[in-house]
Amino acid sequence: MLLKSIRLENFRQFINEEILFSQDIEKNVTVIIGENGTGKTTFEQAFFWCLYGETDFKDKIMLNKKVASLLVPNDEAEVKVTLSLTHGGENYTIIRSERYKKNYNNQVKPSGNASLNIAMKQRDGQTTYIKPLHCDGEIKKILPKQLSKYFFFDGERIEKMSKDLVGGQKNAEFANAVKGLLGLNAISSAIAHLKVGKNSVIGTYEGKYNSKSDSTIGELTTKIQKYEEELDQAQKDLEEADLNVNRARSRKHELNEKLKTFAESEKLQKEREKKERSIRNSESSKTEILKSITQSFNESATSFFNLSLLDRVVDVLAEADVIDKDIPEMSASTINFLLDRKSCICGTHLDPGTVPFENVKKLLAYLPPESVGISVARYQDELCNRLNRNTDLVKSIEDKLAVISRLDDEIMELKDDIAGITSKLGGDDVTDKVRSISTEIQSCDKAININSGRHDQLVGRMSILRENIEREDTKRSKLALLDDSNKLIGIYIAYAKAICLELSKTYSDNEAKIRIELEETINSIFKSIYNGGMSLTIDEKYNVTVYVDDFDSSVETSTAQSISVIFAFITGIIKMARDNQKSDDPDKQMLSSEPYPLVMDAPLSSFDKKRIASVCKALPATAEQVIIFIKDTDGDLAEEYMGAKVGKRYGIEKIDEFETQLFGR
Amino acid sequence: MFNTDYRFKGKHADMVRRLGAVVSDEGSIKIFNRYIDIYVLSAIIGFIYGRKAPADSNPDIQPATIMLTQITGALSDLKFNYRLIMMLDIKNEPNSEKRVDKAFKEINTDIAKADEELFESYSRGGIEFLYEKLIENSHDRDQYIMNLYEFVKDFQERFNDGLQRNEIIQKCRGN
Repeated sequence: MLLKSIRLENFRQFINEEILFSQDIEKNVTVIIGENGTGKTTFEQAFFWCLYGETDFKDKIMLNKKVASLLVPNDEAEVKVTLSLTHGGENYTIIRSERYKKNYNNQVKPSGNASLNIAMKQRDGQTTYIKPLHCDGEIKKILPKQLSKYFFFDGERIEKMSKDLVGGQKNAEFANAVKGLLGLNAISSAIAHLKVGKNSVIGTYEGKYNSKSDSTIGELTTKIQKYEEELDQAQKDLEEADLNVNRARSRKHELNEKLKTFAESEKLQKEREKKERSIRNSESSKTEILKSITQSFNESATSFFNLSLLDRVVDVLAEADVIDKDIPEMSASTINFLLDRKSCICGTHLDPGTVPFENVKKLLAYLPPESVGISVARYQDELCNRLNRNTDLVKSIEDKLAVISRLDDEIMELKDDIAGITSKLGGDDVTDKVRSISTEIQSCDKAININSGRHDQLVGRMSILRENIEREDTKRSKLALLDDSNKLIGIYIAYAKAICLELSKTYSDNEAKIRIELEETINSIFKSIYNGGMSLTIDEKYNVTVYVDDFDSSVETSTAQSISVIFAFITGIIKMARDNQKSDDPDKQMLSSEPYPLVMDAPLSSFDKKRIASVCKALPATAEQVIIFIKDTDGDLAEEYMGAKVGKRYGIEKIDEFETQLFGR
Repeated sequence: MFNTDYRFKGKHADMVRRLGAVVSDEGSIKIFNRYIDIYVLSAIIGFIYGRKAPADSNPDIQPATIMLTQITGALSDLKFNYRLIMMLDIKNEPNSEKRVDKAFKEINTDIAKADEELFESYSRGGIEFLYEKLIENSHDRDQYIMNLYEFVKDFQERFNDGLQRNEIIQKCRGN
């Protein structure tokens, strides 16, 4: 399907605006620039309304407010969206319109239903109009609603859908869309038609068993159907339980990887603390030693600094030639006493001026305080005592300084080590992070256990159910064979089942092939954008697991990565659809489908700077037609990276609250 | 002498305070434990290095006081050092017998006033010298210790080199 043009008349803020989409093969990009709130979403909704008659708007009155205000009571106005496109070689013009009438209460309400008109211009120039009853079917052929959301993306939905995709939710829906787009829907529809539910071919035949008078067969059929319903539900529950287990397992794996890096950090942190303690110990040892240096100094100062003087004074004392001829037990006061009483001990008169007097007086010279002999002797004794205080002050200080120097070296080395560790750690305390990760791992384990238990339980139940079904079916067949017409029904049912089996085989073969091809296509798109930094796998349940090789990014995918995933996914689907159509392989053609355009809100600035260039290069190459809505600020980016591919440019501008216009650029 | 509180005045008071101050808060490390220790050592240092200094009378500087109890506690060291200087100061008194008299006879008499002033002068000079060597160029703990070591080492090389204590004792006892 390729879009030619769209015209909006009185559709919300657009009074009469038209866009002609670029049809050029080379310049296949149409760029529409507008800020948020100018009407991009409205424009995208116009497509929906035209094709399916639905919108997401809260206000269901779509008539432009200005036009509405100009109506007089009983007057009518029409909201119309005209979409012109080509599909399957035919040119379609799809017109949806709705009339609004103003009543006498000045209220504007829809009058009548919205009408849909599809005109098909064939190759021979003849125009035919699709009958009203067939219109919805025709549109479904062109673009089924369930698929449409993959081809019209608005910005809000990009974010939500990418989260769903990567979070592993709603994959069944997703799987169905894939199968539909890539042509498997036909087969699965056929299979469903044949065997699913009471109104299927097989169901109907089995129901015909019931119309026989043999009520037992009827009862058995009811029983079997009940079992089958339960089996179906159990299958769904099983899938859900398995999904939960897978999700919990992959989350646990992520967390364990994270934990490993933290374990390393914890170790380093402990090492650092140990080294810091060592430094503190060395510092205090150093302080103790310095203190002891000053203590030694204080204790030894006198004897150290006196030494040379003591050496010299010994000589002086020797030189002084002191006559220590002291008279034992005699003191100066005794001599003075004798001189005063004027008579000696021996009785001789001591008169001043006489020889005996002078001789006795001379003795004073040999006694203290006149005689210094005793003092000198005492001094010499003290001198020797001081000399005995032997200390080698210099050596003692040197030894201690050596220890300090060694401690300083140790401290320096420890500080270097700590600096190294700190730069490795670079972050905050890891102990808390480790704890929260461990807690989450525990809850993952719990989820795994609970769901695994459920799995086992369900598998058991399902096998019982299958046995029951087989047993009851055998009973029924036996009964049925007894009846001729039931025999015939039995044959019809056998045929139908055989066809089903054949179709299922074809389906699963092709589905596996396509799924793998899709995975490869997406990964090669990733390669061209990410140089191998990102990849994904799709399992047979369509659970998508994303692998990010870039260790700098966080473990959760960021907005940019999520967008990249969904972008790659859609471009993957489109690419495959295009390739299939071009292929000559009849097997592929059976599954082929129309190429589709890509109409999207392109949040260019959400992509990493380095990705934008490759994304912009990839965009035009993945769809035959690319229509992108971008913000004003991204306009330069688009021109820079995609300018050569842009065939048409438009701007959306808000005139006022009620009117928006488009301008060709 | 040595029978009253002793007061350092003027710039010498500041120097004594710095010499007796804590150089490192951790471990409360001091070069000299008490002012009396500085006083006891200062005269010897002043005499050996030939440094004398007049008293400084700057009234703005708070004096540094040593209590009599501490003086009395260190009396034997103070007297010993005084006698040592008296006996060895040839410039003061060339005659060796007279020097011995100064040390033992004249000590604590009125005649000794000039000698006592000499002692104090050497003490002040010694304080200046110690301040220059140990305090002036030291700004952190490690520098104080290094300067102390340098000072002690230098002293050892200049004055104590070759001296053996037991030899001196023998010399002394021999007389």
